[in-house]
Amino acid sequence: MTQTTPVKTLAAGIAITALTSLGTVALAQDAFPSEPIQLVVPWGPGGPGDTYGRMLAQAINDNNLLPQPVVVVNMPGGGTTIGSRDVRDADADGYRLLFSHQTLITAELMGTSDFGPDDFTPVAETNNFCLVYGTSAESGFETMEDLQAAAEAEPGSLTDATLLGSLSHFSSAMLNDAAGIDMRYVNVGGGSARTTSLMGGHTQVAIMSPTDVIRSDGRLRALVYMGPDRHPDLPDVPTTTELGYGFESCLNYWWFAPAGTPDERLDTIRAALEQAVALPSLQEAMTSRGVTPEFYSGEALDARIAANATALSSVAGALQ
Amino acid sequence: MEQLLASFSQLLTPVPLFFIALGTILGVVIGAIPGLGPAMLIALLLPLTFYMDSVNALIMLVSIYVGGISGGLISAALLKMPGTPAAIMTTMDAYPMAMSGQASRALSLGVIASFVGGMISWVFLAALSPSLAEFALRFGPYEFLALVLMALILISAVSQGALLKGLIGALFGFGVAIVGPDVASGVIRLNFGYDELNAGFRLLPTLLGLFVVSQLIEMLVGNQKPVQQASTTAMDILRNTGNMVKHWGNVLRSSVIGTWIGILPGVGSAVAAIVSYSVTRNVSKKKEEFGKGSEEGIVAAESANNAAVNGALVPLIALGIPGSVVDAILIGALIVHDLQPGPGLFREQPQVAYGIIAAALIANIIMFAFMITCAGYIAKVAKIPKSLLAPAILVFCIIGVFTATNRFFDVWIMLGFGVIGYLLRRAGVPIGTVVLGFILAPIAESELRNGLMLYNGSLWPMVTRPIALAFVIASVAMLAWPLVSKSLAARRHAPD
Repeated sequence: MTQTTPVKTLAAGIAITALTSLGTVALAQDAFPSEPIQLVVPWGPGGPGDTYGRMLAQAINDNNLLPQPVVVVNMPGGGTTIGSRDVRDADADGYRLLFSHQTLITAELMGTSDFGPDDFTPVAETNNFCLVYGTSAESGFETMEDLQAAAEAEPGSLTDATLLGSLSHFSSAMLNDAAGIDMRYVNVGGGSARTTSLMGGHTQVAIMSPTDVIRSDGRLRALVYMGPDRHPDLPDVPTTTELGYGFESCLNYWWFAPAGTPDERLDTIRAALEQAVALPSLQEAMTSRGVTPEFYSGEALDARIAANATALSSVAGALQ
Repeated sequence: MEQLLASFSQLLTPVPLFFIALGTILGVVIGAIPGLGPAMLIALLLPLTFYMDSVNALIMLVSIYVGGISGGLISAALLKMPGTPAAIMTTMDAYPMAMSGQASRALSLGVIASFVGGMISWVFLAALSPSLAEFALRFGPYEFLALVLMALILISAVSQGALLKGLIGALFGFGVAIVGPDVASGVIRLNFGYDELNAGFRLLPTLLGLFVVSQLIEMLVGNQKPVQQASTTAMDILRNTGNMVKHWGNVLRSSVIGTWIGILPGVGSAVAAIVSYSVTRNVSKKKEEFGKGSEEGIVAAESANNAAVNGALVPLIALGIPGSVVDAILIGALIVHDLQPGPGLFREQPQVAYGIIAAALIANIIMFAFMITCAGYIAKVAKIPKSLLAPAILVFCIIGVFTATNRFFDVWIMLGFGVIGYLLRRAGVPIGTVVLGFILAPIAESELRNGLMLYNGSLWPMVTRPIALAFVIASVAMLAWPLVSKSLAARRHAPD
């Protein structure tokens, strides 16, 4: 007595649908990624961070390193917290990633966001560059000793052009601690505003990128380089290590996924990124912009992020 | 100098040339349509330039500016409607002349005056801005703060004669700009508990809402008057070019006036045209012809308003301070392309700074050729019913805002500002002052706070540093401007 009732048909239909969709889910997991991966860049289009993100996405896409394209999504504002908050709250499925740097740590330390790197799963580091501490060529300061002497002669008389709460601010603080000098901070802003302020003699020192100094036609002078070894284009500038300051400061560009993203999915992305970073075309494009393409993942990456978090939090109290 | 030449050779290649020509032509057409203007078009196209090379983007936007101010002449002469506020003075004489059967003579005079005005002021632009940028290295925070205050008072003082409403507009703009991250500490303020407001009111939705959406509402709500139209052809315009020769003195004077008024921060083409028109009438031997089809009037207004375009680009490129409302939007364009406006632009991004200067000249030449050949056709386009234009523009606005930040929230912000902008327009508050206030507020605030940090909390350097003091004195003097403005207005109404 089997009579097909509408209810039974419906139940069967639901069962079949459920089974097939389960099947597709399983299939999708096998073939990650099955749709484009969105890379949230927490800056506006055109800036340095956006440019590096796009270079990496393009390298992956042009060379088919992933079966699906990586699409850059700009979510600027709020000192990068708008974009990072978006990825933190996204599904942990590997399809929405964040491209950021130390600002994720400094924002939490300064209290502008209530989350930090610990609220994400780190994917990889792809590129970095280290900072310089410098002055105007007309300032009369040739070396760190000159600066220290001037700062000691008249404490609080010298000003540092910075962006409060940014890595530059933290780097200046670490340097001041190590060198035992006292500087007043002026919130001048980003790169170009800072170099203009130095050249106009309104402020005396600032954290800059090496390219700012190299391309200044001799109008700016680097006093100390915050990388592990001397910068090839600034061979006369000592490093923080040589001067015995005991810290380094670099901008490291990191890829993050929402916390709890399955590792096998992230490994797929890591493999693609490692290949992308090794591409000669990418190496050339980044190096010409003064950026070092370098790939880190796994424990090495965790250690780099942790080291930064420790170093930055050691001076955070003094900045607030 | 060699960098400028390098920029010319870079721009005189197919792709940049295409963007300059596109910008100029779009600008002329938009300028000719009453109610639409270069400010609106630049705001509208801003999101489309996100993925363009920044030089191409900026030269296209500057070309729109050049074309837009010129295009207003066409509807002024042929439709008795100033296509842009900058063409109001042109309408006074160009339309009576056109109605007496001499439309081609009016257009011919206007186009040539625009062209010559653009060329003369360009020399000032190219010569002054690099040296001004170098000089501006001496500007510390308080110099910039004083300059910004001067700009705000200036724009309020001359905004359609209503100082109080202008100031209200500027202060409203200030208020809107304060929401979001504190410029000095990055601490989020006034977000009313909405995380969506953590970045503040963003440039694009605010700008498009205040400027474009409010205009669309006004267009749709307002009734459209049928217009009588004069016509012309390219041959007629060319045949009349000889008329121009006897006006060389007027062109020279009006261009110089226009350039300098343009250089003053905050005020642009519309004010330049009013001032040079008044001056020219005062020195004219045929004062009685003004307002009834005076050649001198057309020449004075058109050479000055075009000269002011280049003049207003000087503080934009050299100081990062807008020379007019359109320049305030161009500052926004620089910022979204991550170019820091200010004295550093020539040094850090010479290809952009010199590119803008070179593009201004090329656009002026293209404008001349296009206006001479196509004025008659453009007048027809200018008569497109607004009911067809407005919905298309609105769709553009929504797509533009959404693609810029990938958040629908910003679309609501834009529509909200559209309504606010419409109400402000109805109340007689000039929208230009709101936009300038919005753009200038963060500059003023950060310079003030940097100054306080730099000078240990003291405000005295505002009056002890000579450059800052000069701007402060000029600002105070400008507050007396309404009296002058009233007497100008009285004269302006006399011929009616």
